[in-house]
Amino acid sequence: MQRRLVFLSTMAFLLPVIAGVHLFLGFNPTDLPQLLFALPGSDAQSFEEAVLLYQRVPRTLIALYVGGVTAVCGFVLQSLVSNPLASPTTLGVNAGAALFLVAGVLLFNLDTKLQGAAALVGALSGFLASLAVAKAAGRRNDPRGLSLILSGALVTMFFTGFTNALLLSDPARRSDLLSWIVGTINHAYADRLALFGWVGVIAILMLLVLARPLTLILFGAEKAASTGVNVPIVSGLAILAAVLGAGSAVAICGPIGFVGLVVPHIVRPLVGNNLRISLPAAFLTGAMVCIMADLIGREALYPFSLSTGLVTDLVGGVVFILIIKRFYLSSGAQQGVA
Amino acid sequence: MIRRGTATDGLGILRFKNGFQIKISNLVAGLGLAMAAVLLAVYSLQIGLTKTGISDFLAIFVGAELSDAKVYALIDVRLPRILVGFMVGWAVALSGAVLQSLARNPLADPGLFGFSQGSMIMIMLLLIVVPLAPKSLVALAAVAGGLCVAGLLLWLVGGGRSSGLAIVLMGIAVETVLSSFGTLLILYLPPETSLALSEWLAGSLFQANWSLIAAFLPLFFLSLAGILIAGRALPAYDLGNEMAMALGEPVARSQPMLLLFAVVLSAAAVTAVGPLMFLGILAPHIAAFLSPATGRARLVLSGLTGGILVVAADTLTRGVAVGLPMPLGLSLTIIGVPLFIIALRLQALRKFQSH
Amino acid sequence: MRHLVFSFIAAMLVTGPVWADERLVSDDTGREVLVPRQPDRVVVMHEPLLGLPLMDLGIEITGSYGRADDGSFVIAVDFIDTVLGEGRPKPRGFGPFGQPDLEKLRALEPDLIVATELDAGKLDQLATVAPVYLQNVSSAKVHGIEIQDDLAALVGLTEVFNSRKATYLERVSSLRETLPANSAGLTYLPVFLTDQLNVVGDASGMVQALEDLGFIRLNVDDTSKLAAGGGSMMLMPLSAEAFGRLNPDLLVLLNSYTEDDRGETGTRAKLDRIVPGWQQFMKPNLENRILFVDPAKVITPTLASANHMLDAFESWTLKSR
Repeated sequence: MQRRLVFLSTMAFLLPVIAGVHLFLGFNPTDLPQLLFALPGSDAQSFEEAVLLYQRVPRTLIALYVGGVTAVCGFVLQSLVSNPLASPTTLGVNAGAALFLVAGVLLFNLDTKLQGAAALVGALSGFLASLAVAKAAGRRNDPRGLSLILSGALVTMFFTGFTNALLLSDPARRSDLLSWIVGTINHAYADRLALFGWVGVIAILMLLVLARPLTLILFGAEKAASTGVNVPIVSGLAILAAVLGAGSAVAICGPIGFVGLVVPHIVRPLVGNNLRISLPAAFLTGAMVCIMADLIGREALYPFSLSTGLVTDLVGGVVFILIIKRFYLSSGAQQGVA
Repeated sequence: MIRRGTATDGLGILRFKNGFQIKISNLVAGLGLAMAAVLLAVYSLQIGLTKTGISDFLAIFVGAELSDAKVYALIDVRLPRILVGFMVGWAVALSGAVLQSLARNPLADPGLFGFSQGSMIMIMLLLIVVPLAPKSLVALAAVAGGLCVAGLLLWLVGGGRSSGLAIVLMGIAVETVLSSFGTLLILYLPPETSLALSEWLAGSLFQANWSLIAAFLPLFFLSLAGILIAGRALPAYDLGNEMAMALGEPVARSQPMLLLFAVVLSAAAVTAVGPLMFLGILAPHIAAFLSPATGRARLVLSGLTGGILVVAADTLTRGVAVGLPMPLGLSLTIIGVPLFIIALRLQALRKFQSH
Repeated sequence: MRHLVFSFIAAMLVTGPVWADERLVSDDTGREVLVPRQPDRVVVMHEPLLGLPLMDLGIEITGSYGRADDGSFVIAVDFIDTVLGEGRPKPRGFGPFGQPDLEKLRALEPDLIVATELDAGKLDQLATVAPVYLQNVSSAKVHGIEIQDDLAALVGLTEVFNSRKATYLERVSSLRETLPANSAGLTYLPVFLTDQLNVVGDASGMVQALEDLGFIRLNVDDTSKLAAGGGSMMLMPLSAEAFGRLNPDLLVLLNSYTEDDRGETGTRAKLDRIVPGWQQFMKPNLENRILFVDPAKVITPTLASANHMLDAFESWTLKSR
């Protein structure tokens, strides 16, 4: 218990620090006091202030939202599906969102708001398709949930194939969409945050409300049922919330890979499976990771910018390798891991 | 002579005079697949703009006069595509089947483990630097890329102590890092180069011609030899490295050779056609559904299924007349994924019934 | 003796057609290709970069990769219409991108195929239909309208190209006189707006026109290893923060093809989303040194595009009087 609280409070402390770095790194140090005062306001008196208010603040907020929501949803998905590989990326959510958005732009010329809506619908469809495929394959009682991952991979392949074909068909507009598909945190999408942010907020609130019964379910479905928890409804609601939350994140800035997959693995060993503590911890950690990745993308190759999604893919992949090495390949981890 | 008998699991087998035996179900499945392949090839010969088909093709041998357009369509365009498609599908399916035994996991696939990505990235880098590189250099680059990834995977996974799941997870992680590197190239190269790369990544049999077939044929025969040699060892691997060693399999020597075999097959396929994701899983699974087999029979059946899938995909690509592009990768997905789901479903039903 | 003369004449007759109709050229990758002197059934593998320059010189392109069979286009922008004007006959297609169909290509009966150096993989199969000429198109290797110059030499229309270029250069020098006297060495920066800021590459009529007018490309960052689009291999988007601090003497803004409004209002609105506050704080805007151009008109490496660019420049200088 002690360790968990220490972790939680450390994260709660570090997050504003990192956010602060994200907001203020790169400015002239002499401008900083003036910028700090400009923060509460909404009128910019100089270009520096415009950058701070209109570019960096939205960007930090988007990174915070996307990182936090994706991490929480990934955590919940992994726990419910009881498979360490479950995440929005592997269950078809990202591929569905990408396909619907690309089709919307290239075939129907949707504007920004409708594009985000299309991505949200696509995210849900991708997940439902994975479920349908898993059911059609007839392996619903697979205890490891591996069939769901496999179905997710098949659905991802299917949707991604169509997306790539659509992108090939229109070389002129392809460049517009490519960076979104990789996942880019861009303040130009701040309007989408305003449009879809409430979805993620509601999703997280719902998950927090369901935290206690969910934790009981995780420790054993029969035990949970015997204490009066309605297992199917709670699980169903939780999965719905997780998918919609992740979908809203994708709708805003494209699929940011690996945050939903890797952050739960970082958080779980340190905080355990009590969702009332681990969900906030996952949120804070995910937000921090995403903000740091965005910072790297912004500053590493200044004045050119690198997509945040690429940074998380590259770095996250390496971290993923380390996680597998530590948790799956050590001699004690032979007998299957949760 | 050939005698009919019963194996220990109650299924029928045929015994030959020199001790060679083969399960009847495997034989039937194999012959059925081979026939399906031929029929599909015949059907595929008539798909395309020019109105011609198998009868014209046979007429060539009898010495009949055909218009230039028909001869071109048959000999320069369609037949090479069918042959290369079959050989590439065979190679990838074989690679997947071997990897599945080595990794003891039904999800092993050269694409999922990153071998295809490694080959792809090496080829992309080569083509950016030397656009007019000869095919042999491209193939070498592909093999080098695949081997690098195989080496990386082996180093990460450590000795033979890891479970099948861990190997697959590590493969997926490596594959994701590599494909994000590929995405980096696509995203940040100039638009024309990026488009050319994307076209290639989608998979295409456009480059199929007789010189490619000539280059691929030795590899095809090598794979047949490999099936004969390696096929016997694979069922031992299915039981795990320690059991394999207990059964007399020289693991330390044959495991790297088998891995090399799988990598070379997948690299050759990537060079000829581009990456074909998931085929290494689709084909062996569908083949296993048709007739559960081990060892050599499994390899042959997987290879036939893989070849049929690719030829079918190519037929779909050429036959569908929509404005939307249908690259080979996409049509393979469209054909393979439903078949895979059906196969899984029927397999589950079968297990259910047999209990 | 009679036999000798006779066989000599016969030999001339046999090889004569080869001399008259074809010639050996060396393409941009060093290959030796036998091309017709006056090709009239040309197929191109990249319409904006290869087809437009040829059409601009007066050749009707028979086939173009990426179009539908009947010549219609599924994509947003038809460069033939925007650069050369509507009403031109469109080339026919032989397969969507990613799926060239050899049989359809052969049915078009081309006598010359022009491809980019990136199509090297398709070379063997394309060569079974017609001689293939590979033209360099990457930003690192060609500049301005060099592509049109090279292709004019290929099809024997160098005189046409040169005379049109002379007219164009006269126009350039008369426009130069309207610029202030110390205009040598003024910088320009062309930026293409998607949802990020992309610096435009080198091979276009726009770049040719601007550099002929005397402008120099702005070097975005001296210390960066990646050049700002011109001559580099990788093209990364420009950071919106860095952009706001830049001060080229002429900022050229192009709105993406996904937008229908590629004029000034649409472009300003788009840039407002990417760099909020630029209208108040960016010097080029405050001092009215921004040129709004429709990329569909100026992005091809042709004299037509260069002239469109001069049109835009001319109307902008007139407006700012």
